[in-house]
Amino acid sequence: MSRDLNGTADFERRLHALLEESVQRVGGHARSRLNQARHAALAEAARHRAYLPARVAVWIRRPLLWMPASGAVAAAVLVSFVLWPPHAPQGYPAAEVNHTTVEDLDLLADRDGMDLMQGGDGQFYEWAMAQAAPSRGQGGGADPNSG
Amino acid sequence: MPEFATLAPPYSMPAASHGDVDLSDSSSNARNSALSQFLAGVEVRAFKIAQAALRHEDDALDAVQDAMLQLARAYSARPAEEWKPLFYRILENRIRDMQRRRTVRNRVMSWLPFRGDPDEDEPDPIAEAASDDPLPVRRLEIDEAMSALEKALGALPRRQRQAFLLRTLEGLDVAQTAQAMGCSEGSVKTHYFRALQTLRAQLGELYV
Repeated sequence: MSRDLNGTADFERRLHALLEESVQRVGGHARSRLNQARHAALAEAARHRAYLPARVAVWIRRPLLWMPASGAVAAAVLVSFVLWPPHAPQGYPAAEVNHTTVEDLDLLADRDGMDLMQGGDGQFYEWAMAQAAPSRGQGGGADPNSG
Repeated sequence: MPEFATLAPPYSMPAASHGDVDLSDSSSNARNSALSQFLAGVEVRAFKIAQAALRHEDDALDAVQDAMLQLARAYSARPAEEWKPLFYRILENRIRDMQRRRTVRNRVMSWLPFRGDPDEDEPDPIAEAASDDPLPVRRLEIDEAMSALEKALGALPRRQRQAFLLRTLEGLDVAQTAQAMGCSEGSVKTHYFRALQTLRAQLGELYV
């Protein structure tokens, strides 16, 4: 089984090298367009940074503009207090529970999902343990120490 | 009118027009420089990731450009260490939007009598030009391997491909990949392992 893990690590390294090679080979046309996109994004960031303080200053100078917003926030807080379920599980926000459920469904809906669980050879767990042991230097994608 | 003259303030306020704030301060320049470095560092890999998903160069470039603009517009004020997962999350959303749009477009186009873009069939003269590479055989082998890898990556389920490319090509760690994918670290490990197993089964003879 460890021979198989070594093979997997070697396979990962080869794939990484091949992908790096493909990055090096990206052509001039694509690089030029990426360069233009970067400059456009930087201009956008500068414009946004300049625009935001000016907008904030306008809002601060006009207290009357705050009134509808503050009223809406106050109403929302009041409604949330009234409607909040009294027995919500402590330490498990609703969003996180839903997130986990969706994630489980995502894993189960995957076409080879059950293969992994029913494989019975524990290959995934062995691989995961090897990932968790950085001193062995096996696996972990591009940077074995990172994961 | 002398009355009005006495009402004038003794100081003069600068005529500020909103949107014309001076950005020459050093913190703003430093932030712009950091963002520039970040984008320059991720752009080519992001393009390859988008290309693996969309399998179309121009669509991939559009997706990366949109992700860059969105990051700059909405998240450039965030700490720089948060940019990478945020950027790849935006990119993935953009890729998914484009894939959905493409599906709809293909369905519509399938009803029309004329299909296909004649420009797509035209060969690129630069790509067709003879190469002066000293090792053409080795280059051909790599080309074949890359082609097989791209095909295999294209056939992977979306989440597996995403986990694999973010880990292997971009070098994100498990936590960053989980942030970028919007799932748990355990889920990232599972998707990554499955991707690796599938790729090894398909490409094993070529690579191992």
